[in-house]
Amino acid sequence: MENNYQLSRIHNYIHGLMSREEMHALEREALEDPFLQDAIDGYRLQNGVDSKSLSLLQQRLSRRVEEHAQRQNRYFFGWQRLAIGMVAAVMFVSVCILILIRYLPHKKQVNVTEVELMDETLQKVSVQAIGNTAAEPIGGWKTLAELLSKHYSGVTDLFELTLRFQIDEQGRPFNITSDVDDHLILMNELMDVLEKKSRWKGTDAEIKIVFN
Amino acid sequence: MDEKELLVRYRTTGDIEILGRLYAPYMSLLYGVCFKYLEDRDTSQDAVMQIFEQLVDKLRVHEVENFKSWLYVFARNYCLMELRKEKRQQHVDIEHNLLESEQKLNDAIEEKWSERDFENMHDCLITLSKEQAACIRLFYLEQQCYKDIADATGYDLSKVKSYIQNGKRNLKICMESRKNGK
Repeated sequence: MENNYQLSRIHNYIHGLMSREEMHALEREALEDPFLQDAIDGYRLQNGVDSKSLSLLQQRLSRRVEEHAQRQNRYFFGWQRLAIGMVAAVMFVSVCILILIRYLPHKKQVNVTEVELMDETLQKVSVQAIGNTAAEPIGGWKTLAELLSKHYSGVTDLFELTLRFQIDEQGRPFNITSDVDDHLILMNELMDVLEKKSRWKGTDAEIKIVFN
Repeated sequence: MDEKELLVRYRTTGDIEILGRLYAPYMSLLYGVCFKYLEDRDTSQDAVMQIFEQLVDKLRVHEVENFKSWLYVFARNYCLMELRKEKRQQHVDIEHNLLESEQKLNDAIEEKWSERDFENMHDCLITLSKEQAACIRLFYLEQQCYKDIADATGYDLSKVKSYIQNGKRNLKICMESRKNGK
């Protein structure tokens, strides 16, 4: 307030809008107050008070103060900010744990696949004719071996077995017998594959299946 | 909250808003001071803001008794430094500045005048130059403003101010020496 009063006095003084007494009073004051004297000299040099410059200055100052307040606010860790930070941290850790839990079973699956690959090699079989067998599978012995390898479950502790069977007119094996009495599941599997999926030339056959 | 309280509060908290409240009332006077030395609107505006920036640190360290006087000296020094940086020549009235310093020193001492002091003043007025004596008489005894004195004496307006300032200073020196018995 005092400031505005002084400013309007300076304005009036420079533009000759004061009475002689008022002018004298301001001059006396300025003689005792070099701050006021310099300000009067400056405004006189500028040919008056420029209110536009001054309001611009006021705006710059308030912007400066505001900026600082915002910056201070940004770095001020109140309890609310701390709480939000804590919640965010807990959520982050939870998400990390979830990801880890999802990732770990994947590793196990990789191991399972490896075992399966080993099973596959165990499942391989080879087939050959024995005795006076004249009959042979259509597509060759190798194709028959692959067919058997593919379609039996692979669960057996046998090293080899012998099968005897007769072949009908359509080339389908029938009357299949084996030299092994137990291992019923395996026998059923093999008989099923031979009867349904293999075709033969000849009348009867005796074959040996070797499980690798 | 008065100026002193605001100063103490800023020194302890460093809250720029408090400094803004302290500084804002002086901005228009400061702009005038800066314009006197820098003679450019934009440069003077920037100077007022730069002075504020410097106060941000200075007022946290310095204990200031009289903010207005301190700010004036600080601002004037800032402007003079700026001028020095620009390597521009600036003529500062030494007499005027000397008078200010003396005033500040003597401000605190308020003395009562005796009959003898008035006699001394009368004698001292005679020792002043013709111009100084005339201006001092018109200004202090007849309470005329600079313009009236300039009209009455025919002196230039700026000269009138200078005669009064220098005359006042010489009068003071004369009075003090007489008081001390010389």
